[in-house]
Amino acid sequence: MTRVTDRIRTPSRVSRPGGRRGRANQQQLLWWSGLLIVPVIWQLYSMVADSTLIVGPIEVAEAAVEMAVDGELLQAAGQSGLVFLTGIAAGTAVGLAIGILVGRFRTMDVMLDPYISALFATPLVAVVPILIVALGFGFGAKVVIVAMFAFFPVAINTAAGVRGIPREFDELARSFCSSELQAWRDILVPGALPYIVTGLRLAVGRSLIAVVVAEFSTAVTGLGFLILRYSRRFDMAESLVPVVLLMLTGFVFYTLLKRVEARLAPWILRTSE
Amino acid sequence: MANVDIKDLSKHFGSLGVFDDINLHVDDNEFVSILGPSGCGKTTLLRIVAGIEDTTAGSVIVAGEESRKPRPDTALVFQNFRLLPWRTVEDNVAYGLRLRGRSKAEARSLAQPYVMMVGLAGREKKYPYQLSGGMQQRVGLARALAVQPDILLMDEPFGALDAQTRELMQDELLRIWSADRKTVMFVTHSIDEAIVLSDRVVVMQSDPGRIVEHIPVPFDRPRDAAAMRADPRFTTLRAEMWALLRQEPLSSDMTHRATGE
Amino acid sequence: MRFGFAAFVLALWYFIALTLGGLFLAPPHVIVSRLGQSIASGEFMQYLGPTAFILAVGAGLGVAVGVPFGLLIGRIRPLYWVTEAPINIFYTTPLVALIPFLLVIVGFNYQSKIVIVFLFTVLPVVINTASGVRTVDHDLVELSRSFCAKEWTVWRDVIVPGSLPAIMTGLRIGLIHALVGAVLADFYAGASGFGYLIILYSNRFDITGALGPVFVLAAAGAAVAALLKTAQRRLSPWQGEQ
Ligand SMILES: Nc1ncnc2c1ncn2[C@@H]1O[C@H](COP(=O)(O)OP(=O)(O)OP(=O)(O)O)[C@@H](O)[C@H]1O
Ligand SMILES: [Mg+2]
Repeated sequence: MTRVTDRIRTPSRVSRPGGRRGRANQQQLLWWSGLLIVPVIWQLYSMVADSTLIVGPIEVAEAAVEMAVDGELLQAAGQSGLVFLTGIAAGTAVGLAIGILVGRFRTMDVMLDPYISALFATPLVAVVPILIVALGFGFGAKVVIVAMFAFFPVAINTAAGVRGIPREFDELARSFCSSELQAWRDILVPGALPYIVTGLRLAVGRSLIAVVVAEFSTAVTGLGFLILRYSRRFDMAESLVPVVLLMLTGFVFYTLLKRVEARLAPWILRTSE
Repeated sequence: MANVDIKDLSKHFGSLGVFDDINLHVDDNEFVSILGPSGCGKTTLLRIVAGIEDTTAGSVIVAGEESRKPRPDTALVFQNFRLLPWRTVEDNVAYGLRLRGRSKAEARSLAQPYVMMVGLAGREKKYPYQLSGGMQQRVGLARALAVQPDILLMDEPFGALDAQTRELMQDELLRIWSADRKTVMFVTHSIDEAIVLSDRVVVMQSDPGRIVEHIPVPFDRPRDAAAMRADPRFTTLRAEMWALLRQEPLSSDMTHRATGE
Repeated sequence: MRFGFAAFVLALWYFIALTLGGLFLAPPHVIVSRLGQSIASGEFMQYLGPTAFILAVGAGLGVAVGVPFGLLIGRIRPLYWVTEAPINIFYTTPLVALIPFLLVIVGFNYQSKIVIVFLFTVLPVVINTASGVRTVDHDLVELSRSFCAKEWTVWRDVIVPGSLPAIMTGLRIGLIHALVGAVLADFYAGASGFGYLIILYSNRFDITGALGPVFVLAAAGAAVAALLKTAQRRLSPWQGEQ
């Protein structure tokens, strides 16, 4: 198992002298206009399109305010958020432990790696209906589903990170009479941290999918349920409100963790020279 | 009593015999250097005393007890520093203290005097990659000293440094050691370094690894390295050790390294 | 060791299956024989067909659009900066949430299934291709330029080969996402396909029957991943083990 990530790294270019400021400003400008283009086109299209089903951002925003005042949006978001956070916490905790074991102990690696790698490539959504039949429609079932999605990227990346820590730190720990758990705290977790954060970032994306799929399949609570209910009534603006909320959540988490990742290991640049 | 007693010690890696029947006694508060060509088993010997390598035959008694695993009263300074890259200077120095159950803040404040001792005051918050090699080695030294070991085991601690930094570090070690005497086993390739620092130099040869001579260094302490080098006794000692090392069929590379700086 | 552990897993499986009375987890040989029956009766192929179709069309379109588009925005800087925000936002969105919306707009039919698979595939392909192009050593591009190379020769000699490993990574992730998209499309967008078969069995509380297609999907995912890993190594041997 090597590190899994969703994209290859783009090294930050050494900027050429001169015009650096200008270029950065230009980039910013383009980035923001790119951000605005989509809602603007969408709005224009919705105004041109002669259909009540095509609603623009303005209508969605109005619906959002209404649903927020109503309290139903907050309630649904709370339900989904709780499932999401509990599930990702559980999946990450188990993923960390298993990842460290697999990365640290050869026997664990040989035994577990084939299963973890194969299951990571499996479309896990296929198991969701089965899990719901087995575990029911409740909070617990959803948490299990989300945790299952979060587990794999965390476990795989933690294992890869731990494997990359030089063995000599092990001897250092032993020579200072470190216990196994102390070595996890002082050496394995901090050493693998950049990888763990990458795993966590992937886990966030997968967990959001899991929350929605679980809520679609159980159809009683949460943002997923709201989407279903309103789209069945063809209330498109209302049904898009939770979608936009989910988009924002995903994007915010992703951007934040990406920042953390970039900042986390300044020594890597140096020690790999 | 922080002494080390090595009796009839043998070590083999599979079919490769590193050394057989090594006998060495290091007294309480004695500074002993182990000098020998590459591959004669110096590192292996030190690792066995530190308890991170097992023995094939014989015994190593540290402070009256058979040494089987790492002990809290010994500390090892590694040849290649081994600082944790994700920890700042002060947290690297505090590493051993943290392992002994101190809280983070407590460990840091206890580590502070050792950071000062090795001349890194003001750099507590730097990461290892922001330090020069010499500074990194000093962090490694401070980390070992901070746990207040009775026995200090040092494996070519200055081997990776340039000649000038190396001499500065030797002076520093002399100063630290005379302020707080400990039992020291110091592995080195350098004859000069061994003489300047030690009470006694143990000369080894290889194939098979063995101790050929124990040479006492008669200089009084506190010592002044520069004055020592000018002393005729220094030259005599140097020649004597050089002759012992030369009896080996040395490759040119080893000759170069064994003459030291 | 590996086989010993596999035997242990199998034994544990049998143990759980037999103690739970086979309601939730059937023994492996029962699942396999049920899968066999399903294949023999033609049911398996009947449900596999539609899924294979939407996968082929949706993922095919995703790659056909994603690679050229990724190359383009990777090479042309202003375009990259304009598209970065929207692409990232859609990439980090749980696309499942858009499915009910698509069903209303496009309809409860094949087209919407294909759109779903397409959306799942295209984003990782675009993102990886673009960052592949951007990582291609700028010096090499300048070098070719200094030899008065035309734009298209620069593409042929430097940009495409240089970004090939990243493109392959994009394809691998894209195809695995496509599989997920196809299952979800079957779940929600029309009563056909492999995903629907899983739902059918699950609704009948027939977990044993439902696990058969799940295994086939797992095998497909693992095969795609392994195949593209190998292809990546073959196509860009200078990359070494990543
Ligand atoms: N883990 C090991 N496995 C097998 N052989 C080893 C191992 N460690 C050391 N050796 C062998 O033992 C011998 C002594 O090694 P050692 O590192 O103790 O030498 P040294 O005297 O410290 O050399 P140097 O001055 O170059 O550091 C060498 O021949 C080395 O190849
Ligand atoms: Mg050595």
